[in-house]
Amino acid sequence: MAADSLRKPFLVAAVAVVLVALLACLGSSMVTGPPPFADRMAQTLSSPQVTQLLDTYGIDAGDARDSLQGTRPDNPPGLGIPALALIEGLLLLVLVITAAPLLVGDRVTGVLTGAVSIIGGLVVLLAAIATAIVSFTALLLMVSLLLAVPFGTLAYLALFGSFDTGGAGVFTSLVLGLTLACLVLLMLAQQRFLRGKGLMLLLATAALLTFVTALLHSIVPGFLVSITDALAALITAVVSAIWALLVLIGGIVAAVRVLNLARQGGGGALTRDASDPPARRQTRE
Amino acid sequence: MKRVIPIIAVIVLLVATALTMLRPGSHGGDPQRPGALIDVVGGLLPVRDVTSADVASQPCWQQGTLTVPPAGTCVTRLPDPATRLTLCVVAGQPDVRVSGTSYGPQRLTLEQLDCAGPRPISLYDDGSRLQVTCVGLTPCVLRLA
Repeated sequence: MAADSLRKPFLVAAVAVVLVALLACLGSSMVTGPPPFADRMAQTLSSPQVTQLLDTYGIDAGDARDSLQGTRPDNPPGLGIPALALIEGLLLLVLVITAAPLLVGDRVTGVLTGAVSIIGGLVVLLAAIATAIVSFTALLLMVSLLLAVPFGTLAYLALFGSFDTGGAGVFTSLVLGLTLACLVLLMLAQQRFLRGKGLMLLLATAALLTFVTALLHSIVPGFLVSITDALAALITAVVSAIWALLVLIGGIVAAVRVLNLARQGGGGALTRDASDPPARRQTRE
Repeated sequence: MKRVIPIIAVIVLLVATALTMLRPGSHGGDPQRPGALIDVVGGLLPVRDVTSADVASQPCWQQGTLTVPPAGTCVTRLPDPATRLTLCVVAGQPDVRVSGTSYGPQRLTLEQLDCAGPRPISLYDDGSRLQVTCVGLTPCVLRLA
């Protein structure tokens, strides 16, 4: 076997690893979560910071309890890790587009590549815009509540002050590890994958966004993590929207090329050239 | 390449310093002083005070002054866009509450409603209502500050 020939099992494993990372991001909210609202309320009222807050404003502890009991129970939004599914989804899309011709062959995948890029890019773009709006709204709500001293702050602490940073840390470590594992598996599959700038930049972006999310979860005191988590989701959504737009444009360009070639009557050749992803071309070189 | 490395090092150092200084909670985790970043975001939020025009047509109000009879209660619907209400007690012993649909009531202390230095009341809930009950024997008079 030649030193730089394609090793298909590693390529399949790289795709599988990103799929697992995507599912981990989407399923994180089912595993992590804050304690029940009643526990959080009791914890808030017994904390020394809240006692100091009540003393400063001359608020009776009973009034504080009444205020919290009248609050509609809600949980921290926890958007940061699910938002990472956007960039992992794009990474999976690009990997599949890159790997499919190598695994299945040009004739089957050639015409479909452009369409898959357009549909996938559009779905991720719309999801990223929706995530950005939701996370921005959550961010403003939480900041306005926190700054509305003293009763708004109390409500914030009871509702959003408990974020499962331990569980979130496990998931961000897992996703970062899987993203880096994908890089290693791609290198093992064929070293020429490393020369595909688009794929490598997307991998680096996914790893960087996961790192930023983990950083924003860890550099602030626990009661502020819900806010920085929404900020992380907003950053991830904006960056993912930009990447989705690039994938969408790439898909449109590929589709137009296919249509032009089809008009010229090059039916057999179009599946090879027009829909050829950059990494595939470099691999063939 | 030799020039790029120091530039990157300086950028990383600046980013690390900025992160350390501007990170929320850098004042030791005091919820009353959440930190520069959150203050900046908070500064971007719109601020709108309740004006006398907002309450002009509501019961018990006249020219920005709320008069509640002894043992009586006056309820005022506050406009949703308003984010702040500054009230002060001119006479009487009122029990003042602000409540909305999602969060519990805010029960205000007379210190907060002192005309010498009234503290603004944050309106963060939808459908906020001001409820003033006069508990003394003389009418309670409050005015918008």
